[in-house]
Amino acid sequence: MNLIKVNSFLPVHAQMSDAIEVLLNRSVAEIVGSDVVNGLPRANVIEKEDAFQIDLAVPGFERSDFKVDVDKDLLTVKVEKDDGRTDEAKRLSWKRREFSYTSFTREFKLDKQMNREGIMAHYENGILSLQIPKEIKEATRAIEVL
Amino acid sequence: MQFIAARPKHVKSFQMQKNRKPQVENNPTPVNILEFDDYFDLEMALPGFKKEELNVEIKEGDQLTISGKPEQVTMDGTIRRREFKITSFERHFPLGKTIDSSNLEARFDNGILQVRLVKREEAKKVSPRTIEVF
Repeated sequence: MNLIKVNSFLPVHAQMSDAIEVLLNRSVAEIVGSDVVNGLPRANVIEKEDAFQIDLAVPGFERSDFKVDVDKDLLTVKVEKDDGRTDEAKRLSWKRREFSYTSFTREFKLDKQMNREGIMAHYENGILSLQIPKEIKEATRAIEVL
Repeated sequence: MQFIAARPKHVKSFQMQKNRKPQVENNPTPVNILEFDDYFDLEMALPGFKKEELNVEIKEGDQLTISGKPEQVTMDGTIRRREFKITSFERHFPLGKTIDSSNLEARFDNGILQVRLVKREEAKKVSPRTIEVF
């Protein structure tokens, strides 16, 4: 997050044009942080010897809420859920709201070394953990010379 | 390996944002507080924590303190991308006079800690009653 300094000795319009310049020269994502713009759950990716592990921080869901699909090179994690608070919220009084657990879709591109068949998903303590095994390279074959 | 994560098209790669601190560092423990007639529910998003790593207590009579200390886990592998961290934290919430601090309930489900703070009798909202006129 960038703060725009206000110089109280400059006329207001000069300050404004500075601020606008700052905004125009940067993308929204750069100012706010791209993941914040999208409101997507955060992911950590760990490469292990025989697999890749993607951990998604997605608290507040049930195991059955997740839909994990693989289509060609795209791994999609999807939740379609309303946190049930939209109707309830009318009766309730929010004193503070810093997070919500509602629908999202996050995609990951798989590359050649990833085995699409053996992907496993596990949800515990608010972390969805995806294991993507690496493709086992075929041992080099010696070709006999006749 | 390449990951695409629905980032805006004008951002060429994640490398460009290498120096940018993720928002998670600004607020690693986001909180929701809802008020009901008889109680408040405080929810804290703590993905990756285990129940036994969390501590909820009342300090100095009227200060709710929530803290967590994750167990150190050694991970074999190389981190390719890191958008969140599970780290120790401590947060304080002054309860004020409306809450009965002797009556506290906490539960942890799917990465969400919920603390129910019951209001004192005198602070409870009384629903309107019709008084019969004799």
